[in-house]
Amino acid sequence: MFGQTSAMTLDQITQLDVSERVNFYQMLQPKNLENPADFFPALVAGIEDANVAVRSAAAGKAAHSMLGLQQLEQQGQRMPVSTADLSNLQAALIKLLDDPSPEVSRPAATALIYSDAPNETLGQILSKKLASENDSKARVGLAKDMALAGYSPEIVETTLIASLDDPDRKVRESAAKAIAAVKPDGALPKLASRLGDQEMMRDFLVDAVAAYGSEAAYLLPTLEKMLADPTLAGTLPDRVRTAIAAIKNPQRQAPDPLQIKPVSLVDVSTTLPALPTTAQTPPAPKAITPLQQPKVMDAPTSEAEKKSTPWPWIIGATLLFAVAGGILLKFRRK
Amino acid sequence: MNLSAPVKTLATLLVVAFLLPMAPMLHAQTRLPPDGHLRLIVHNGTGDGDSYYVGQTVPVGAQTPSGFEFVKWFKIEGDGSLSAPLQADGNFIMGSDNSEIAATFAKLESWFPPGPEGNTKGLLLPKPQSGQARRLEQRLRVTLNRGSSARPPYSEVWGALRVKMKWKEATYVRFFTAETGGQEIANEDVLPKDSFKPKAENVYEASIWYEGNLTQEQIAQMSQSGNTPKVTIQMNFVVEGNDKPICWTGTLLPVQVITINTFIPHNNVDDPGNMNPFGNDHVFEGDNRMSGTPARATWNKDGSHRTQQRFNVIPFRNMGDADGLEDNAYANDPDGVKNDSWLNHVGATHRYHKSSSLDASGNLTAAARADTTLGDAHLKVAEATASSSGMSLSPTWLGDHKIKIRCVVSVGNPLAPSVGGNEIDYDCEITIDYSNASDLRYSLEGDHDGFPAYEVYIGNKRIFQHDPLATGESLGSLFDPLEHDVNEATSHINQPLR
Repeated sequence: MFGQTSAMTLDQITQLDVSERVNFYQMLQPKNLENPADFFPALVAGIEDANVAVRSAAAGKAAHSMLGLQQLEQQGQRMPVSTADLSNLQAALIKLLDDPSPEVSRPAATALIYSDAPNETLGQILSKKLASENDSKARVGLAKDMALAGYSPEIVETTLIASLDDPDRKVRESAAKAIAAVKPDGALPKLASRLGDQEMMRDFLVDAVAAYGSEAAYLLPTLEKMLADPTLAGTLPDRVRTAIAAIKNPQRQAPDPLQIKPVSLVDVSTTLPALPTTAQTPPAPKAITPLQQPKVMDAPTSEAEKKSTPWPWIIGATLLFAVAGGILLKFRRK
Repeated sequence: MNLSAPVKTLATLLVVAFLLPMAPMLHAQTRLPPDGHLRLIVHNGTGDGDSYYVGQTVPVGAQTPSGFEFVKWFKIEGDGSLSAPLQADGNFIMGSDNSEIAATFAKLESWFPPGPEGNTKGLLLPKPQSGQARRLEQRLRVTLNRGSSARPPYSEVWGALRVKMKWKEATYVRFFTAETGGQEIANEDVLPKDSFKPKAENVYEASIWYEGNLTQEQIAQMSQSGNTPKVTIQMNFVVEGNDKPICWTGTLLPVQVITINTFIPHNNVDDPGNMNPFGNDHVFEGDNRMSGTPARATWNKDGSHRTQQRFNVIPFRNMGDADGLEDNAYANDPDGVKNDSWLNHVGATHRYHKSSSLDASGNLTAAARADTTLGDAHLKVAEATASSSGMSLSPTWLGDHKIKIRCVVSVGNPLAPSVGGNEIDYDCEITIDYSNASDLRYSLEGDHDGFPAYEVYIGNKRIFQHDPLATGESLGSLFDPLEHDVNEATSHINQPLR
């Protein structure tokens, strides 16, 4: 079945033709190597392959591998590979960020994000990639992954919010989906301004607004007006109804148990290569030191949200008026 | 109001006194003509005359115009009766009053298939002569021919009818389906539309949604008949008004059922979620849809899937509220997609302990599939179903008979972390062009991941497929971006639906 190949040496891999190498990297597991310790050297060889399909397969496998290592680490299991080899892989992945094919650079970025806890060095490299990424949709995806992994430089949030104005509707939609997951501060006004954008699949905008819970209460009239529009089509009416209910009765959101918050697998500060220089230097991200608890994106209702809830005031004022009215009425009758 | 008995009595007497002089007038409406003869007016046929008597048998014959097919006689006025309303030549038994009857015809407007197996007639209704009828009755018929006796007969039929009428100074119109059903069709759910409002001055439109299913017994009978089976849907409807219709037309078009599936062709795939290239002791169950050497995905509209979007596309714009018609669950929907036809379905995900769950050929064993004890690192260890909230539909009318539906899906593995865009993703637009009923067209544009397999159907016609086994793509292709484009270069633009 899927994943069955015979064990090979590093030299034998180089002798495979392109389709065989693609197949090899798609199915790569340590047991497929004569020496399982060659797992990361084998990945590095694939990442540096001249053929884009091989690089894509190797980058995808690297991304899966980093996620797997993170899970093993967080489950307290023994690392099956040496951290020194992992640092070589990181160095290769950093080079791959500039690969002209997004099918290579995108999984490479994912692999890099999950190769270590969020830290200043990687943050700078990823922020540079974010600032220089020409593919708008890839830029949004990278920003989302960085934010969910715990990177919170300003450029991540501004990238997501600014992408809501992208001329490509698919980029705007990706940004709305990412914002629903990340919930950056200051996105609500921009989301609100896009609710009339009929070129978009507005389901995603509405989902993003709903993700802010009671913080989005001031948009309830807008959503209710949308719902009254008889031309509202497709799945959108149901999404608007769901959003209205979610804003009126915000539920405490438990953190996603599947969401991986990367931790340190290797000390990159001594092994990462020097950063390549570019003409465009992005603002320095807010540093998050390794092993520091990353920002919890799906945290329960924040203090600010609790404070902004107006219902206690409304209920109190109503009761006050009722009592005062009752007293006045009694006096008048007398 | 409290009235004394004398006052009540007086009032009754006054009413009776008022009505009594009118009695002869009421009687005059039904009495015989002064000369003792009855008149029969026959539209579109022979038998016209003004010297018939009560109970006389009058031969009548329909004069069917060239290119039309006789449908039936209908009675406009009078209490006489037709001996055989469904035969072009028959008799009319005069009643006690003058009578008026008309023959109706249907014209074959076009042929086009709802799917690869059959044909549907689009019917143009005849124009009754001006100023003749206060009540019209008509029947539409659709015949779905099974293309080959080797193929199974239809088990489901759908259609939509739009009737457009012009009325002269009409202020009141009733429109309802009297009955529906051919001899092979049962259980139709037909829209009765009690009233509707004018669309424009003297122009009234009504739209009907109908659907029906063959019973298993009917399917069995048709399969045994040995003849080329035909399914006939008959839709009878009656129009009443306080004035006379001057023309009416009707068109019957098939409703297109769109199905988009994604599926994992393999029996099982290594767990990409717990990422175990290091140990790799878990697998996810696939949809087990591959065969041949080399192995290739197998296509099946109703097969096991990871995600399925299915919906019915209505061929007429504004079938429901936008016409000013009464809100009706059957007549929806102004957006062109029948609301209650939506199906955004996600298949359940199952994770298995690899070494205890696979047989010698690498397939999941029956024992593993049947295991209900989860979380025990043996056989089946986890199961979950992803939310369908990542599945969206957005229809847009491009014209009165042309609709585009955008379908977006982004559904992750509920047992694995969602990173790097590793969800099943597609984003496509399907356009159905009903403008030329004899040449229905479709377009498909969009993009999708390289994994898993994708299949798109209009009716039973598969218009698109992507097989990762053929392209050599695997789980790594779930990561962003969506690497495959579907466009003009892939011959999916303005294609015949036939």
